[in-house]
This record gives sequence, structure tokens and C-alpha cells, in this order.
Amino acid sequence: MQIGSACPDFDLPGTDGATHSLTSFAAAEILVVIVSCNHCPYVVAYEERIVALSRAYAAKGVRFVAINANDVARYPDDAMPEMIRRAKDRGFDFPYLRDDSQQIARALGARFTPEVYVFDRARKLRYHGRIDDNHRDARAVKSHDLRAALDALVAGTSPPVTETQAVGCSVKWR
Amino acid sequence: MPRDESLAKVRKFVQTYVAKGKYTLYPSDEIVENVIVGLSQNLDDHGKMYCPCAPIDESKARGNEMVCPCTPHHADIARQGYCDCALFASHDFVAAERLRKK
Repeated sequence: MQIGSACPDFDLPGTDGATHSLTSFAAAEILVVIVSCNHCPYVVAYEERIVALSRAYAAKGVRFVAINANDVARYPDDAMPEMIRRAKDRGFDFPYLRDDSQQIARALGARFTPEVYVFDRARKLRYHGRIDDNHRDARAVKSHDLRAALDALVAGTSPPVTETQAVGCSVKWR
Repeated sequence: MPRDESLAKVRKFVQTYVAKGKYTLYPSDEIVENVIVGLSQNLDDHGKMYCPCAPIDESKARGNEMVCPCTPHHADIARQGYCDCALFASHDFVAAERLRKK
């Protein structure tokens, strides 16, 4: 997905029992879409940071949504019941959606989990890539890429870096 | 960070495996290096080159299936062009990626 592209619309079930679409986030100034899952160790390493970022930026009009498109036939841990358990256990304060058809993950052009897409008020892509530069150790992070993009957009400017390489597990395609 | 000797061992394995010619490396140095570090760390911590893209407890429960080159990597590459860790890829996938990025 190219920077400046429009966010694909979606209509996906969430762990909260509701169905969420792009219009569900109409009030958000900035929308952060994270292609995620339950199974991947990289995602597990980032979950605490994702929740912290979501909480830190909520008052600034930033909303987060995580989308899990992994093939549940090969990875049953990524099925909705396990997603519900994960969202509760890890205290997700954002919708965690199931993309069974994998259409949204494909429309985003996602390849890894976690892979981040930041959309502005017009729902144009402004940042795509990684959360930061060290999944192994949050204390050793040198480049807070997602945070930098959000700070810039909240301030009404452009992200200093618009694209980074997401590092993680591959999306488990059917 | 993993020990230097583990990194060297994993790099040698990757180089040797790719030299056989069936697959090549995933077309991102950053991704490949990250997987090499992950394999080396697992070699240090768990004694085997377990795939860093799979939960370690699950991998250990599967014996050697998830030790690189893992059992599913052939099917993964056949399905999507690259293994689930994005270390190895088919030559066709890499060629298609080069075209896509032009």
C-alpha cells in the first residue's frame, strides 16, 4: 500500500462481540491499524507496548484497531475464542478484529505481524511499517517510529519517516 | 544479543542451505538479519535453531519439526513464496518482488 492511499473499508467481527467498520472510527483524528495475531512471538513481545501507546494517545484523538487474518485451520490459536481470551488477558483497550476472508490484510498489503498502518483524518496512509526498532527489548529501543509518526500527525505535521520495514512473523495465508 | 559463535554457525548454515540452490534468501537484508539473530538467540537459549516466528514452547513440543530448516518451510514457500519466518524464499518470488518494486 502506497503512502497517501485510502484505508480500505472493512466490516469485521471483534472480540467485544460487535462488528466494526471504518465508520466505527469516524470520530478518530488518527486511526492506527495493526495487522496482528495471537500466535506470533513478535506480537507477544509488542503487546504491552501497543496497549501503552493506545492508552497514551487516546486523549489525542488517536484510535487503535488490531486485525487478525491468520489462517485458523493451520493456527487454531488465532481463532476468535482465543482472541477473546487474549484481548481480556492483555487488557486490550482497542477493538481486536477477525479477518477470516483475509481480504483486509491483503488490501493493506500486509506481510508481517505486527505491521502498522497509520491513517490521518482523511483516512489516507501516512505511516507504514514497524512499531519501533527493537522487538526483543523495549528498553533498548532507539527509534520509536510509530510514536514519532503519531506525535507528528497530532501536531499537524508530517511523520519524519513514512515507511519502515515491519519485522515479525508472516501473515499466515490460506 | 546472541554469542558470536552462534551467529557464525547460523550464518554458515544459511549460506550453505542457499548454496544448494533450491531456495534463496528473502529479499530484505533487514528481515534476513533479524531471523538470523533470532535463530542464533534460540540456539544459545534453547540449544537448537528453533524458528523465531513460532512460540518456543510449541516448537519444543514438536521435536525437530520447527528447527531451521523447519518441516513446514517447503509447503510455506510453495504457498506464499517464502517461509513463515521470511528467511528463505523461492527464486520466482524474489524475481516477482524485484519487478513489483521497480
